Order: sequence, then C-alpha cells, then structure tokens
Amino acid sequence: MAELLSGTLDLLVLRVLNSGPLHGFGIGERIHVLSNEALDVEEGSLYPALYRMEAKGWIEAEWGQSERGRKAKLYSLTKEGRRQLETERKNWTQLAVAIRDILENA
Amino acid sequence: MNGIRQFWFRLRGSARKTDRDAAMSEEMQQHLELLVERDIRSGMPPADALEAAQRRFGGVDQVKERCRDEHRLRWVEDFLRDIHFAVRCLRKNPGFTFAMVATLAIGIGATTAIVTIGRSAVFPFIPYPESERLVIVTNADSYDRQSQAPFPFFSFSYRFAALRQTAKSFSSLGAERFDQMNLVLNGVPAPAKVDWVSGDFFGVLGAKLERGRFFVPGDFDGTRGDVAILDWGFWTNRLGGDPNILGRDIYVGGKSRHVVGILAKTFRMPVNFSSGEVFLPEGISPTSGLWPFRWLQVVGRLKAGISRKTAQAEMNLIPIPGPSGADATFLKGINPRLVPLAAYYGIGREDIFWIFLGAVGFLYAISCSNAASLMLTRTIGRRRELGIRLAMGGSRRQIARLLIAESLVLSLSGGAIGLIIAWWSYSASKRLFNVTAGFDWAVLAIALVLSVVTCCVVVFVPMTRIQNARLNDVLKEGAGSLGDSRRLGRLRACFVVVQAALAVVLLTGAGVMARSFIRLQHVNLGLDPSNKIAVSGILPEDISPKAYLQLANRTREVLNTLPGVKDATVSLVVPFTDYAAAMSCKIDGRPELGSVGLSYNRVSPEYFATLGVPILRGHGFEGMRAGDPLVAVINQAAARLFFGSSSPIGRYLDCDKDGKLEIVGVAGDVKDKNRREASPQVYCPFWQPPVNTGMLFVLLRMNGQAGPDFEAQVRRAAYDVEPRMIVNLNPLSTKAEAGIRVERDTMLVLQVLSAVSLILATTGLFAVMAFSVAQQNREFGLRMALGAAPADLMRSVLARGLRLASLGVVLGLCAAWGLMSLLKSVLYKTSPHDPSTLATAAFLLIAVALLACWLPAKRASKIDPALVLRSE
Repeated sequence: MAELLSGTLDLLVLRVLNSGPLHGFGIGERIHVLSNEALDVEEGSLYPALYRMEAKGWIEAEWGQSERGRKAKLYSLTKEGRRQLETERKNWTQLAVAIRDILENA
Repeated sequence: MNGIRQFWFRLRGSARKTDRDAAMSEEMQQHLELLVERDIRSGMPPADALEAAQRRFGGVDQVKERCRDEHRLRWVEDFLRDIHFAVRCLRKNPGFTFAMVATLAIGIGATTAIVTIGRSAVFPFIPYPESERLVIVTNADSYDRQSQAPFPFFSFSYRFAALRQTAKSFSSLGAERFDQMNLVLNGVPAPAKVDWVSGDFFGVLGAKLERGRFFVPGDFDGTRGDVAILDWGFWTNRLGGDPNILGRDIYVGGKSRHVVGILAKTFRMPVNFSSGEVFLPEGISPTSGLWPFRWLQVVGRLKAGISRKTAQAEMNLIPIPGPSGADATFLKGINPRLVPLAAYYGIGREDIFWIFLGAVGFLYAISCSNAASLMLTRTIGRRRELGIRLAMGGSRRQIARLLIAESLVLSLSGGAIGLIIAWWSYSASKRLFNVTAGFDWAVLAIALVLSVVTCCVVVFVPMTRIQNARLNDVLKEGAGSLGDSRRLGRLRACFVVVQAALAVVLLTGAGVMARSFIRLQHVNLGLDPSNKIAVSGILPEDISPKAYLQLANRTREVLNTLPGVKDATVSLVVPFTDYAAAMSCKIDGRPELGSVGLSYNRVSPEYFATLGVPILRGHGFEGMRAGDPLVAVINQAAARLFFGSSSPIGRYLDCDKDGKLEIVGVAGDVKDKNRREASPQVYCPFWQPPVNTGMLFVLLRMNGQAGPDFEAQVRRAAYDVEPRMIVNLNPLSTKAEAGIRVERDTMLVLQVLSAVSLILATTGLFAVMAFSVAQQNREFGLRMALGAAPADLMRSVLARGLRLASLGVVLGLCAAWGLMSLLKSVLYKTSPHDPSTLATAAFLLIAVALLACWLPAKRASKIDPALVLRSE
C-alpha cells in the first residue's frame, strides 16, 4: 500500500467531496476504491484533516441521513473549497508534470 | 480575512466545548461501527471485527484531541484554565493576595487619576464645533505677557464695533456682557444671571436650539419688541419646563420680554464667560457704548485656513479708534490680543501637571517594586512546590504561565480597585484642575494598560529565577538553606534601597512645597484682608456721570454710618478679585518707554486709610474735590520701575485726551493679584474723568465681626439711596485665600503622594526584614546557642535594616538634589535644595525604617535555640 504524499490528502478529500456530500467513513472508502485499493487513509490522519479544512471554511459539516438511513455527519464542499480544489489540482498537475519530466529526461 | 474567520470559528468552538465533544464522540463511534459492519459483511466473526476496527482506528482519544486542536483556540482554553488555577492558589494565601492587591491598587489608582486629570488638561474637551478656530479677544497687556490665559475682557462697545468692522481674519465675532437682573416669577422677584449678547454670538459658538429661534436683526434695534432666549436648565428648573413657553412673557429687568427660544440642553457657555440663564440681545454700534463696566467679552471664529498667528499680525496693525467725544484714552494704543479658547480650559498650569506626573510616577515605581519584591518572596517560598511540579513533568513554560496568570489576576484586581481610587480622587480634584473631560473608557484603558505593564514588571524577576533554577538543586535544598538565597536577598535589598530613595525624593518635594507655601501664606500682602467687606452694586443704565458721583458719595456715607463699620471707601476695583482695570499713558521724562499699560484703580480719598495701604511719600487725595487739577498716586513698584531712585512727586503721567495727571503720592505695594510680586499701579480720585457708571463698589472696614443682620442693613441702606441697585456682599479674606489655592492644593497632593509612598516603602522594608529573619532562623538559633545575647541579634538585624535604609536615603538625596530644580517655577522664596528639608526627609525615612525593622529584630531576639536545633 502506497504511502500518501504529505499535503495531498486535502486534495483527495476535496476531489472526492466534489461529487457530493459524504461522511468520514465514506470519504476514506471512496479514496480507497478510487485508487484501486492502493491508498488507505488512516482515521488518525483523516479526521484531523477534515476538522482543519472545516475550520478553514473549505468544507462544511451537517448532520443528516446517510444512504442507509442512519444519522451521520456529512461533509460537503463550500464555494471556497471548490476554489481551493482548483488551485490544488493545478499545483498538483504542474508538480506531477515537472517530476515526470525530470524522471524521463534526466 | 481567512485568518480572522478561522479565529472566530475556533473561538466559537472553544466556547461550545461540550457540544463539540459530544458530536465528535458520536462521529467517531459511528465510524467504528461502520468499520465493524464492513468487516462482518466480508465474513469476519463479530469479535474479531471489533478488535480489528479498534486496532485500525488507533487511539480514539488521541485522534479526538488532534481534531479538537483544529477546532479551538488552544491558548484561550489554556489561559482560562491557568487563570482558574491561579485564583485557587491565591485564595489559599489571603495575606499575600491582600498585600499585593493593596499595593497595586494604590499605584495604579494614583497613576490613573493623575493621568486622567492630565489628559483633560492637555486635551481639554471644548464643546463647540471646530473649537480650534475659536479665539478669545483680549487686550495686549504689557505686564501680563507670560500669562497663558489672560484676563478675558476686551471692552468696550466702540472697540468691539470697530474690530467687527475692520478685522478680516474672522468669519464671525460675538460679544457678551454679563449682568444681573431681577426676574419676577409669580410676583416674587429673584436675581437672575443675564447675558447680553451681540448678533453673531450664538453663531460663533455653533449653538443649537431646543425650540424657537435665535435673535434676528429686528431684535437688536427693538423694532420687534423686547425678546429673550432662555437657557435649558433655567427653563426646566425655574419655569418647570413649561411646554408653552414660546410666546409667553417673562418679567425681567423691569420689562416684560417675549420668550423666542430655548437653547439646546447641551449648550454651555465657554468657561471664561458667565453662564447666563437669560439671554438678551445687545445691539452694538460705535456710539452705543456707554462707559464703565460695560465690560465685553469677545469670542471670534477665525476664517478657515487663517492661523491665529496670521490673525494676531492683523490685530497688531488694526486701528482701533476711540469713541467720539471724551473718555478716549482708556485702553488707547492697546491692541487686541488673540488667545485660543482652549487656554481657558484645562489647568492652565502645565508646570504643576508635570510635577504631579513625576511624583505619581515615583509612587507607581515604588508600588511596582514593592509588588515585584512580594512576588519574588512568594516564589522563593514556593521553590519546593515549583520544584515538585517540575519533577512531576510540568514544563518550565507551564510554571511560567502559572506565574503570569497569578500576577495578571493580581494586577487586574489591583487595577479594578485602583479605578475606584482613581474615580474618587478624580472627583475630589476636579475643582483643582478645571477638568472638563469626563471619566470615561479612555480611563479604563489607561488603568488596564497600567495593570498589564505592572504585571509584566512584577513577574519579570521571579521568571528569570525559574528559568535558571536547576531541578536537582531545588529538590535537594531544605527550606532554610537555599543555595543562591544570598543573591536573591541582594535583589530584594535592591528593591528596598530603590523604594527608600524614591520615597526620599517625594518627601523632599512635599517638604519644599510646604515650606514655600507657608512663606507664600505669610507674604506681606500690603493690605490686610481681614475684617474687610466689599459691597458691590449694579446700577441701572440711565444714570448720568454726575448722578453717579453723587450716588457713590451718598452710598459711601450711608454705609459708613451703619453699626460696626469703621471706614468706607469707593473703589473701582475690588482687591483680590479677578476684575482688573488698566490704563495706558506716557511717563514724564521717560519718552523712550512710549505708552505703557498700568493697573488702574479709581478710589475715594478714604481708600488708603480704609484698607491700611500706607502712603510712603507725598499725600493721598484727602481734601480734594471734583474739579481740582488732575492727580494720581502710584505704587512703589511703579515708582521704582519708572523713576528709579528719583522722586516721582510732582512728575506727570500723560494720558493724552484725559490730560496730564500730577503724581502727588507713592503708596505701598499691594500684592492682591499675584502674591509673588506687585505690579505697577495707579490710583486716581474716582471723580476724575472718565467717570464710570453702571457699577459701584464700596469697601468697608469693620470693627470686628459683622452682625448677622448686617447684610440686610446694607441692602436696606442701599435701597434708600437707589432702589434699583442690586447689591452683593463679599468678605475680602475669602477672595485672598483663593489666590493661593493652586499652591495649597499642589502641596496637599504632594503630601498625600509622599505619605503613601512612605507607607509603601516602609511596608516593603518590613517585609524584606521579616522574611530574611525568618530565613535566618537557624543561624540565629545557633548563634544564640553559642552564647550570643538576644540584644546582639536584635542589633545585627536593626543594623542591616538601617544599612539598607541609609543607602536608599543617600541615593534619594542625590536624586532629590538633581530633581528639585524642576519645582523652581512653583516655589516662592524657597531654595529647591533647602538643606533643612533634605535633612528632615532623610531623618523621617530613617526613623520609619527603624520602626519597620523593630518587629523582625524583636522576633530574632526571641528565637528559642532549643526549638530551632530540635527541628533540624
């Protein structure tokens, strides 16, 4: 299982939430599945990150119904979060291209 | 932006701690349940699934704590916990807490009070729009140039009219003269304060109305009938706030007047004006100016962009003509002088303010060092406790935080009580400083800032001790054998020395002021104010100069026959009052001086005998009558200034149109306006032109105390002479005392400050000595066991205390020597380095220090060696 590069967790969470509100467990699962089970986000990192992003105003939490009808704390993107997602995505692409260039051309 | 939002989000989180934690627990619990469900679905036995989930999640509490950190202001929560803990610690130690809070309250309170008063002195609150453009127009007076707020009267109508016509620097000019009139309410007459105002007066001040209108041009020439505007307070208090007041008539000054307006509740007359209750319109034209006592006060609003300096330059060149007709020389050649209105607000005595600020700064320093010393003592006493905290894993930071929290609690409570002290002394000293600014939030801010500064000062020294303390040493040491207690002791001794030195400086200051005040009090005024009464009469306007002279003579004669009256004299000016008159003339034989201004009084021949002012050369006005050649008596100061050692008798004062006055006598100096020195003064017979009508003063010398019905007798007698005269009585002695009020109050404030500083310094010394004796308990016990006599121990403790005190005294005397020169401006015939005062201050401090060491010394001599040795 690959180690998550530091600072990328925020980007992944923002991206996952871009498709709709989810609770903490769901976010972890979705990342796990979408990465073809390569990434496994630990709860010990996920929750502090969620709380941090909530404090920064990128995401907001609301108690609501989860898909199976039980009460759950659902996180969703705010306007600011969407902006943040765009910036981070751009940064990440630039970084990835740069690293690939180095790896291939060096 | 983002930072601020995050701050609020976190602050909210901190405030709703329990809600937040409950929600978090629920969220984590659900996450766990979902993990378990998933594993069970994939075929794991439930018990294994639970264990796996828990293992995977790791420490739920740690995760929660990290989440919490994201959602709160940790330092706020920690800070509140520290404060809570500090309060608990302090409550366990009421003696220490009380001593600290009391010391800090005194220091912060005194400083806050003085700074508050100073603030309103330096930035007085003046209740008019764009008040910096307001100036008072006075007369340039060659002998009063240094005065910041000179006699505010301008006079007279023709001067004002000319000024209004020619001066270009003002956007508007207003004049006022005060008066007193009988106001008849429901058939009962009572005196009312009346201000006659010129057309622009309210406009200059930007006054507002509660209802009605201001005066309009037709009001000034009488074509619209007699009208009046009322003060808000007068309307509510005397007229019961009658809602139908507009259009009603009030009967004032013998006339029925139509009320056309009520001034706004917030309107106040400038402090140097009389605060009138009834305002009447005064039409001022170059010819309407009747003579005497129609003193005008003039306030002007400078045009925007015109500085006072520019305007003054215009004033220096402006031609102010005399009135057509006689009486033209009075004030001739004396140009208008512009004084900022602000000069009449505030203390007007900046030197005294700085002295107070210095003194209170010393007091603040003493109280801070006392508090720091107490805090240090407590920290030393708690070394074991703090050591254990360190050993149990408390970080130095946490201990430092505890110390800061404690001293913050202490200094804030000290500040709160200090605020009460400040409020109290502020109200008490309001009278002294002519304070106009209120006791407001700025004061609270000052107290708060002082509290925090104090806290930092107090905590600084113990903090450095903690930072340097080695855990091992702390735990190893017994309470009685602290490794570096000697160094700490030296530090505390330093505090004591500094306190003693500061106290000596304050004592010296108070002492020098007291000495100067006593000298000032016993200055030979040249006129004994005791048993003298001034009777003032306000006369109707239609009295001719001739009738006035007869009336003045009649009144004087009638009052002289009253029982108890020894002598009576007519006088234009009442000594010791603020009212002054001035004239300008050329001096015979001194053409190079040009036109000089002199204080001026017009008196009847009995004046010198009645007031006991000696005629030193020549003679007074006895036996002279109206129509005789013009004469004058000058005082010694004028004789010295203008004629030096040669005799002034027979020389002339050339008063232009008023003619030449022959000097017939030299009178003794009277220091009624300024106790420190007499100003040059001229006396003329009161019948010589220009004759003043309008107001009459008769001064009475009494045979002992006046009877209880004396005032009624005077009023009756005056009524028989002229029933329309409004009469007031004032003893001269009260006026004379008011002249040294500033000096007396300065002395009192310094005495209070120095007494408090002495008490603080003494308690500081006492605390240090008591503590060091307690620390040396074992040493004393041993010495006693080895044969030292109790008296020896006592002497050694006393000697140590005295050594500290004397060191402080020596330093204090040196500082006092340097600093006392700052008092020079307020001292009268007293050297700021008066040796006996310095000696007294030093002696006083040593004596009190001995007293402070006595109890600890006594305790040292009573130590039971057996007890001490057994406890080892």
